[in-house]
Amino acid sequence: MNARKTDLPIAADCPTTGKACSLDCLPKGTIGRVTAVAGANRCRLMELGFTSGTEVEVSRRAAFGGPLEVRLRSYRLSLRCEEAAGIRVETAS
Amino acid sequence: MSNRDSALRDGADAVRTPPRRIRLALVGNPNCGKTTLFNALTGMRQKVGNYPGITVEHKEGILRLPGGETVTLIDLPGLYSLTPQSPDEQVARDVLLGYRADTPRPDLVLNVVDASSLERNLYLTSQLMDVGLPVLIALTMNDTAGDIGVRVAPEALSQSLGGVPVVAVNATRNAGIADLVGAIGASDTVAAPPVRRWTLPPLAEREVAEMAHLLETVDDVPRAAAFSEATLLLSLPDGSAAQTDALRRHSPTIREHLAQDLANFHADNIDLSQAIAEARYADVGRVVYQSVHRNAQTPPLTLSDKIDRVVLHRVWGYVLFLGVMGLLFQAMFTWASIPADAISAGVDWLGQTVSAAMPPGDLRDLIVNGAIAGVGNTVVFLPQILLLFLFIGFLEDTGYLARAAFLMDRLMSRVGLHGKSFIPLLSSYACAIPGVMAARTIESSRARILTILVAPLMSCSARIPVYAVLIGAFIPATSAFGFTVAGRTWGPSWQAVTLFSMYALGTVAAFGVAALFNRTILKSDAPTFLLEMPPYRLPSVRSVVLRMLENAWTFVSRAGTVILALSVVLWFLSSYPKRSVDTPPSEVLRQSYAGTLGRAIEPVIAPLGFDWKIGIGLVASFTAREVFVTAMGTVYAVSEDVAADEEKQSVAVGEKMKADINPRTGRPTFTPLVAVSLMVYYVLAMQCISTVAVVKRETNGWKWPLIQIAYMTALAWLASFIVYQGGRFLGFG
Repeated sequence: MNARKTDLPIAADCPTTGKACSLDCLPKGTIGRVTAVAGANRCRLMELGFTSGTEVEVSRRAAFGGPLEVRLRSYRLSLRCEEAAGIRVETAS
Repeated sequence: MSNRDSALRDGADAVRTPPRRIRLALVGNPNCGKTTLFNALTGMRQKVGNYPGITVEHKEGILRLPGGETVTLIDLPGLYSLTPQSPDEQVARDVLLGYRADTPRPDLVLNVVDASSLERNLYLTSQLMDVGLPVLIALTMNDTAGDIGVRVAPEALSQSLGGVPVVAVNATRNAGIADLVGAIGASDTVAAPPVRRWTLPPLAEREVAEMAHLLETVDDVPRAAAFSEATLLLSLPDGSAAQTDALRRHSPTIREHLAQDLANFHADNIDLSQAIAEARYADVGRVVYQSVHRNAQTPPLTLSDKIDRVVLHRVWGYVLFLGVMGLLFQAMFTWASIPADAISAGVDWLGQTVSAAMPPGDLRDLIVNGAIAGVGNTVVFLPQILLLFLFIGFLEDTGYLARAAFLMDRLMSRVGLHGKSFIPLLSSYACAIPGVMAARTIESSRARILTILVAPLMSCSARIPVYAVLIGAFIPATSAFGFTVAGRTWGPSWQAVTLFSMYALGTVAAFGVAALFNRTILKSDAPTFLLEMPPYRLPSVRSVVLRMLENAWTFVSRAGTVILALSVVLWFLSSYPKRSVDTPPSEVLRQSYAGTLGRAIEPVIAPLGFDWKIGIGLVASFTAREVFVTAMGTVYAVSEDVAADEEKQSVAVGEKMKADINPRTGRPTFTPLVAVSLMVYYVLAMQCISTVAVVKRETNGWKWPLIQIAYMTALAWLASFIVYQGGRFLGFG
């Protein structure tokens, strides 16, 4: 969608677990592809565009473990780590 | 009235059909330019209120079409989805489906779509197209879309949505508004609701159709709305509060059928909410593909990205944030006090003028000390409210408010607050009233209530006179600690340390109480922080000013009446029962109902070191904390010429307090320990009816203000008790 996405490589695998992981464990600047969404805000997250197969880039992390800023479907959203932890992503394309 | 006039005039052809009155619902995502468009369409012809029983704002405006027809615009709250997960969404859905008795079902939906984030905006469009009403789209933010290399073709968009009319507008520059008005006027030609273009997996599709049919035949749901209602019922989590709520409207047949369907879904491993979201987004993808033209050369970094490199920087971001907040603080504290002081002086002058003009008596007292003082208690807050909402309007419309929330969320979320709680709490150092009102910017209802509950613990400017009298009289000006350079000691005095401690105590208490409530009474609501970071935009001055005036008016009309009524009640309590004219004022107050009350509560406040005179001060200052100084002035019979000068009065009251001897013990009533205990009480107690009135209005009921009064009074009593008894135990005072 956005030209930025083609500039950035899709990371081969998750730096901590080596395979699919949740959105909050992606380092800044990496793109993940949503595989599943869980948690209290599941329905809202899907409605905001976190559906299976959607590419999400972690574009910023606030200091001291604060919220993440992500880009998806050509808009920017910030969410807390607890919420991002419910979004499963795969990083190998 | 006008109907009757025209009926008289047109008496000859009475058969003529009355002018058509269109009801149009304005719906869109937050930050999509909906409010600006609403203002451009309706001008000042707006009416703001609340939906009865809930805190959701109800806003209507009038648009006159060139043909003479009248359109009523219902501005629904900004939302991402019609799935009812918050009161805003519940109201929007109920209004669109015609479920609200207080709002007739609209005839037409005007969906505001932000071209720069088309996909997410079209998700809501997809839901709106299912509610069975004709839809019209206003496409906004076309410039912003251009900046990121996206161009949306309105005709292509209209075509790929199956013929829904699409008009590109720029409300700030008034471009496209005439076309939009024309499209609204021509809406009866597109009156058929759009046709659904996406499908579910076969089994789900069958169950939804069956449920929709049942709803239509058994529960009389209109055919057009049945599909939307069926998908909602089937996709709500089984056993959730939302499900119970949605089922309240339906018959047992539907309930039984639903239970069976959900069991089938479970057996087949179908999650309908996921299937729907995916099906809608798949269709949205098709629409975007057909209607969006992307520039081959997309700018790698937009202006917003570049600005955010500084604004959200781990160091400079916070430096800038502190600067912005410093400016806000300065504005609220220093600049707003200039007009506020002028208003106070004006109210005093008015009171004196009326006093001089009227014969003495109960009526004069009621007007001067009840009504005029009560109105004064309301309007004196206006400068701060106007200034804060002007500030917030600009921060919100430029997009900075979302950035500030991003930076502060970590700190605030530890105690259950929200990144957006910061500004309300900061403003509360000046005054809790604009602070409580500013909590409206917080979307999460739990964080909003929590912010409102703790905001009055921040030491507001009305506490300063109380601190000033007590610190001035009882706390030594000698240096607390410090170092000596060149024969001078540098370091804070005990007075400064005491003042600082009072501010610190309020702040620590606010965070502590928030943490406590977060784990107890507010535990059930799930916390959320899903915040869109909109691109930076130049705000529309007109929108910001309109919103500022709207907030000020809401305060005056809603909270003002309660403040006025309570002011009259407190005036009555402190001037009745009537005494003869030559009774000195101190005696009148002492024997009034307030005085009696002050004496009656003495046993309760004695463990805090307070006598009945302070009790009177506590009761009287419930109108506003600074009244304490005046009340003590009256109790201690400070001469009237001194009382006219605030500074002299403050010193005189302090001197009188110092000289006061308790007749029972033969020792001074006031010691530094009593003064500290009293200040601690003032830091923590809810001594302000105006705040109570505003909390009642903002939470739409008496539940939260009563909880707030109860916990703050209990906390204040307990803290003062510990200070006084602990201090005595350690041998102070």
